[in-house]
Amino acid sequence: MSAVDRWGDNPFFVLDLPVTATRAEVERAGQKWLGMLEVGMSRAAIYTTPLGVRARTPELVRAAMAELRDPERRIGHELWHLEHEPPSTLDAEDDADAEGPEPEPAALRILGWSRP
Amino acid sequence: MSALGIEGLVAQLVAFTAALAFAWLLGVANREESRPGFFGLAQWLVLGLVGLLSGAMLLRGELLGAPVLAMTGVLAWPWAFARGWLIPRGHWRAAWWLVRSSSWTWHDDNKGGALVAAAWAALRAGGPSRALAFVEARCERSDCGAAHLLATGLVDDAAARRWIGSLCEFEGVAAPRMARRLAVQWCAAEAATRGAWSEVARFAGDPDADATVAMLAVVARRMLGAAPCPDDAELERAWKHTPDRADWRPLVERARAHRPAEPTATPAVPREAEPDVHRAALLLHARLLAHARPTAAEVAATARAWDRALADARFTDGVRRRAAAVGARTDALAILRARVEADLVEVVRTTGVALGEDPDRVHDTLGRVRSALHQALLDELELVADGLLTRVRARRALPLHEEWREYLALRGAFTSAVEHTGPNLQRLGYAIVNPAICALGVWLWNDRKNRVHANQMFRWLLREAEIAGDAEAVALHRRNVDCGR
Repeated sequence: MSAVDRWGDNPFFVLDLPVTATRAEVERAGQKWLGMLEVGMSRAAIYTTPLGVRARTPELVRAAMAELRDPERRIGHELWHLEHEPPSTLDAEDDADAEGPEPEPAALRILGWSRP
Repeated sequence: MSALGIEGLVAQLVAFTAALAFAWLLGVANREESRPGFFGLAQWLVLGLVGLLSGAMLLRGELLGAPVLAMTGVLAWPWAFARGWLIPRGHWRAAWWLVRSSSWTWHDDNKGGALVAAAWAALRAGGPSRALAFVEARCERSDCGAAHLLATGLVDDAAARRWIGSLCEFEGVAAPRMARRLAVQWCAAEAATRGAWSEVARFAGDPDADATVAMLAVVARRMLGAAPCPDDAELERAWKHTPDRADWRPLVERARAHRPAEPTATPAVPREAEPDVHRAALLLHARLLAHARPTAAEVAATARAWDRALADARFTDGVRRRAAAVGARTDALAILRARVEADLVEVVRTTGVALGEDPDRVHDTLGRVRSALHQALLDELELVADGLLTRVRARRALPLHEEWREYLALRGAFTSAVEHTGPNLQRLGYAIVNPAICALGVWLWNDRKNRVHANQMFRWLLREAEIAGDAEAVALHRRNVDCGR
């Protein structure tokens, strides 16, 4: 699993809960999301993380609930919880960096190095 | 001796002298370091005689002289005819046959030249399966020269850059000049299609760069604002020397209108001071993971932010209290530190950030990331090198282009590892790759008689041995390279 996936699958993001959530709140949130996913509510299909929007599935919700039931794992996830920064603020500067001189897509064609 | 016999002898001597003089002039123009052998000179002598005879026939009004003269012209300049007529029209088999006779342009690798012509024509024909199978089958033969790399690249879209790029790095007289010239042109054009102008600019001083590549390099320097930044007059001069210059006009106009951005310092830390050290570290970490092309400074800033957080008594005490509150008995801070380091190693490896070395060898997060990266890269290098060495010792031969692919893979892993961590890995990594590549080169040279590829391997090993300061390897590979001169 990549670093992005590890962080993106953080149970607190999946269940949309603060780190102070009690065990009962975790169970209630999990059941709520499972119910919403079962009836196909579009709002339940995605969740927000500091690295962007990700797809929420019933398997992910169940895994998140299981992770937060284990105190050893829960404390690890708490340390990676970050109140959502809008992804645009994280990405805006990156996009600016990515802008460079435009390519010349016809270069190979002009020299006859591409299929006609 | 009759008068006719003397006249005939004189005519033959004149034709012979004219053919030699013409060949010499072409050789000077071609600036090739080697010359075609007996076959090439005999070819020119015969063609010169046939040309004179057909000219004489035409002068006497015999029309048969015209097709003979035309055929002589085609056979005298097979590559020019193939490139100008057969390749653009996709006549791959005719191009292959004709370029087999190109002893001047392609020298002793005219088989490779013919294959380049066939592959290029096949590309222009839209890649008919028969043509591709024909080229691929010939590229697998054991007698391949350097030009085969270009042919392989033209029919292998996925790995074209690797094959043809490796030909650009050929040193000495192992590759016919035309093969390298075409490879340089392809690589420069391909980099321009990706907008990789810094790669294009590197071809500026290449001895095999033609007028088009020189123009692309000038455009690249203008696009990048690289000093000395070419002015409009230099752009125009480069453009005027380019063949098919009308097609390049839009690019030159774009370069003229381009104003390179002034370099600005990238903030390495969040703009606003973040009082919460843990949150500051998480923000930088998120930014790093979201960044497609992070810099070493950003990795270092993130590592420092985690160092600050993990050294902050308020944060660490809070974590311990919280762990006790939820009933966790493990060391949450140790797990956090391990995951931070694993993430940073992953970022460096996947994005190719050159982390470099730390002369002070500080045992902080960045130092531990460097060490982990260093060890992982050496382990991987050893795995690849051992695989190659074991196969070579067991004499399990692969087709030559597969052998070259394995060599490039190991060389690429070594180069990438050195770029990631710096010169310290150069010495250790060289000690790992040298036995494997040397064994492969010796096997190719001694037993399989493929000296072109083996010589390039020894040249690379010699260069890296000099950088790594391995005197024994330098002496060995100098002898190996000298064998190929």
